Amino acid sequence: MKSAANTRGGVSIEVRDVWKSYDGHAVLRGVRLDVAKGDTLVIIGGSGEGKSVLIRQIIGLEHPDRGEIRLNDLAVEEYRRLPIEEKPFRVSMVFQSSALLNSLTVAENVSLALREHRMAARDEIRRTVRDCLAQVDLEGTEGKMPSELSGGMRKRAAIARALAVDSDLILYDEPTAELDPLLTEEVGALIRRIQERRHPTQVVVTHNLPLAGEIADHIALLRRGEIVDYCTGREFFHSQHPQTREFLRAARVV
Amino acid sequence: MAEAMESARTTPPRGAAAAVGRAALDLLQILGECARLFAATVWHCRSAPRHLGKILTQLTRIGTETFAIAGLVSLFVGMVMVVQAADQLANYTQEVLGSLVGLAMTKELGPVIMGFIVAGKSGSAIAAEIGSMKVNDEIAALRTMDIEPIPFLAMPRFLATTLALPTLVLYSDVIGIAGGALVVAFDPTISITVSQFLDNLREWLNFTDIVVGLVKGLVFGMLVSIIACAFGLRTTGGSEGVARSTTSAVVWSFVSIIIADFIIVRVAFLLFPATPK
Repeated sequence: MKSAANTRGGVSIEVRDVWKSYDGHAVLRGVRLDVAKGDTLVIIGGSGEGKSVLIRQIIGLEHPDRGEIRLNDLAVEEYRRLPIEEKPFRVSMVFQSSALLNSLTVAENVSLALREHRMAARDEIRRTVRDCLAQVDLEGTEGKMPSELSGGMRKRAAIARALAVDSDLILYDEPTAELDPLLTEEVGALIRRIQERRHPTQVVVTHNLPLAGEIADHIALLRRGEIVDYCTGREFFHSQHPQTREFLRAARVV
Repeated sequence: MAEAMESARTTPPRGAAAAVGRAALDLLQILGECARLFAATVWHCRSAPRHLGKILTQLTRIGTETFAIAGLVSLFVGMVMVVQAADQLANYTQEVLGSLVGLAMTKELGPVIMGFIVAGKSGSAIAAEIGSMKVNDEIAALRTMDIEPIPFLAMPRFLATTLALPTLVLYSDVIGIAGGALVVAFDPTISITVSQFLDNLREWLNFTDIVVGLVKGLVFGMLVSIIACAFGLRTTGGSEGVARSTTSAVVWSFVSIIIADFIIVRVAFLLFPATPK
């Protein structure tokens, strides 16, 4: 179904001059961005700057008004149109609300795509679910309903759902929103661990600077719909770009 | 100047005419969405065997949600009809009570009341469930997994409701007639016997009357499920939006049931003119 040669080390992302408006209000204004295969990019920015809108364009949930997004040199619209069995790589998203289906158990949520697309036999699916839940430290929760889980557990179950289909690109929309510092650290460590073990490309949208510092290979600062600064995780905190300085100052990092 | 032009472009026009225009556009948009969803759902019915489990789950849910209330309402409707009609007919003949209750239940009250009950109980639940899924990004999550919401969510609910409603109509017919017979048996003001009541019913009730009722159930089931799914899928704006969608789905279902009822009655009278057996 998917070619290992195509996707080893994740999926590359090219965002070219992407514009998106809602009711005449421009949210994205010509965003340009490149993410290398296997990279963990953190898109950072204040509330309402268009971070979530940008990753919804990257995964193809919404279409830009102008511009183009390519995943491994394949236009995202073209990728979405391909039937599942012809997709050369897999893409998943962890939503801010976790977006677990409330009517399904944790195991059913994690195995949903595998079952719906008949990607594996029943025993194999059961094994995959067990493995994925173990990777996110949720062993023994298979039969629980999402409403019985804490916020942090729901986030981890959503990450397990992304792992179950062996995603080559995982997008995280505010993965630590509404979590306490300890759980934030846990989710950060999990994102790091996924990259070390599986090497997918990961794009994380957050305004949590400590988390960004912990997990990012690269950090992009999105201000007023534009990427204004882009550098490695380490460089970002010493960047001399005036908007980055202003953001770091507001976050009391400098 | 540029700001004023931008403001004029984005600010909706005010006044009664503009409000009527907006309402008409909304109405057309909802009708268009329902028609598109209906076509897509019917198209995806070919994958029903793959989703048998989901269809059965929905059928069970509709059954458990409506069985008791449908029985209770039908029983009392049948009883009330006999009490009212018996009083009106006291100076003429009460021998027609059987046909009166039977025809009213099978052709009109059974389908319409069951349609209303399913719209109120199951339609509202469908709209609220899908609406919550929409605002909680669960539907977006399905799309990221290449799971299309129409075959996954709408089609099983559509088939289950469309199958459940005619069954409930039959159940309602039987319970309603039984309710009427119960009053005939125990009300001292009624001068006919239960066997006279049932004989009169058998004499006047045609097979086509029952079929017309079942067809109504089938159509109402389609309407209720498609309207509920369409309003669920167009939900925006958090829990307030879910409440709005749920209410709208029920109101639209009620109105569409009455309109469809009128159309089916007209067509049925053209196809099967009312004559005694």
